[in-house]
Amino acid sequence: MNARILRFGALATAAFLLAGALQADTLKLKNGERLEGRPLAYDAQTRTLRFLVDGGAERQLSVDELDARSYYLVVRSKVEKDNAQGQLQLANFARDAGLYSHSARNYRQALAADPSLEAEVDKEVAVLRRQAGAWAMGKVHEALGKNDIAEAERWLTKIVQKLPDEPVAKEAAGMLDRYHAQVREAKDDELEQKHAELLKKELSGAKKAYDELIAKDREGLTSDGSGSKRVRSWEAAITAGKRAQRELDRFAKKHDEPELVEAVAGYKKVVDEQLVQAYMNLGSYYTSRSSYDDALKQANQALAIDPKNSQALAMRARIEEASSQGIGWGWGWRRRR
Amino acid sequence: MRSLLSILATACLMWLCACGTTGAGDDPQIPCICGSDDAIFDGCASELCRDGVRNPDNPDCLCGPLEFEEE
Repeated sequence: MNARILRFGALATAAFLLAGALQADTLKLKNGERLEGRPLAYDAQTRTLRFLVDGGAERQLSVDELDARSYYLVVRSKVEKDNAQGQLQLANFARDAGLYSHSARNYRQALAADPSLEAEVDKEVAVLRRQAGAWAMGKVHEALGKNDIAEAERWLTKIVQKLPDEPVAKEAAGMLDRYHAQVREAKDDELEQKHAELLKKELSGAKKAYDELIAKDREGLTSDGSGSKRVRSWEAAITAGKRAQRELDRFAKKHDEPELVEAVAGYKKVVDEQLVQAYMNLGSYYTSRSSYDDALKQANQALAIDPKNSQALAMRARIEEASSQGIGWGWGWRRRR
Repeated sequence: MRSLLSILATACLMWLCACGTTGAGDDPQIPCICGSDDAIFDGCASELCRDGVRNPDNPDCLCGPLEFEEE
């Protein structure tokens, strides 16, 4: 019996090891074909890839047969990080293939490898910003076409946050001015209707503070004023948000009627979400200005309210990366001077 | 029986090392979003991507290099 168990264990071990070793890579071809298997070798002279397809057949592929993502994957695997010209060419390819964040990363690596490329990289990054902005604006129009205002507003916010100095950000800010309040009103409409009297009387202070939080957050996003004015707007939004939280907490301590408890909990959720957004907007602004310590504080404040917020967690991770290595994602790594 | 357990434990350990999947050292709270529109614009902040490692569970992930077997 023991011997049988042992044989089974050995087989299981072999299966585990084999599966681990045979972890398949996926390549996609321009003709729509999808290949699962393992790359054997790449010949840079002939630009040919030898690929062992699962099942045993070996394919010789010209990289021109690959779709843009797979082409990028193969070529980036062969370009060393310290090959400045290689990274620059790869960045240009990624940009023109619509792989914007990868492109930004390759530009940073090109510059890190050879700082004398600064002027050339700046010129190419300006094109990257323009292309990425146009693409993101396309997402806005796509969402508006589906009457998805919340999704359109999300992309408009991204444009304003990531590309603050681009002309497209001005256009986005103008549109945000229209949709920002609309999206938030939709969020608390139900609560307002259900607890209209409460909001008019006992919770009027919290409601007023919440409205100020929204107005100041929008001001920070859409203002075309100076940086310090925008920071002041977000700081005022955060102060108002904290005031709303205090008002709600004070009210909650005095009441234990189930209906009131439910009303306060619902309103607190809406206030917390908006306050997290204001912290993240301010954090993104600081990131775009490479003020990583200030940005990190905002991300941590957002996470203090909502520790599992995946966007805030991702934001903190990006800030820490950019801060520690000088290489991050995002677009704030080099501002237009 | 003890040998069997140690074989299985070793196999599991090697499996995790070989895969490097999101289950291993990755922070599940920051999911790998490679291939999505958000990742195209913002980049992916998952732990694997930050480490420059391609997520084997996501065929759209381009965060790390391919490994060529004959090189």
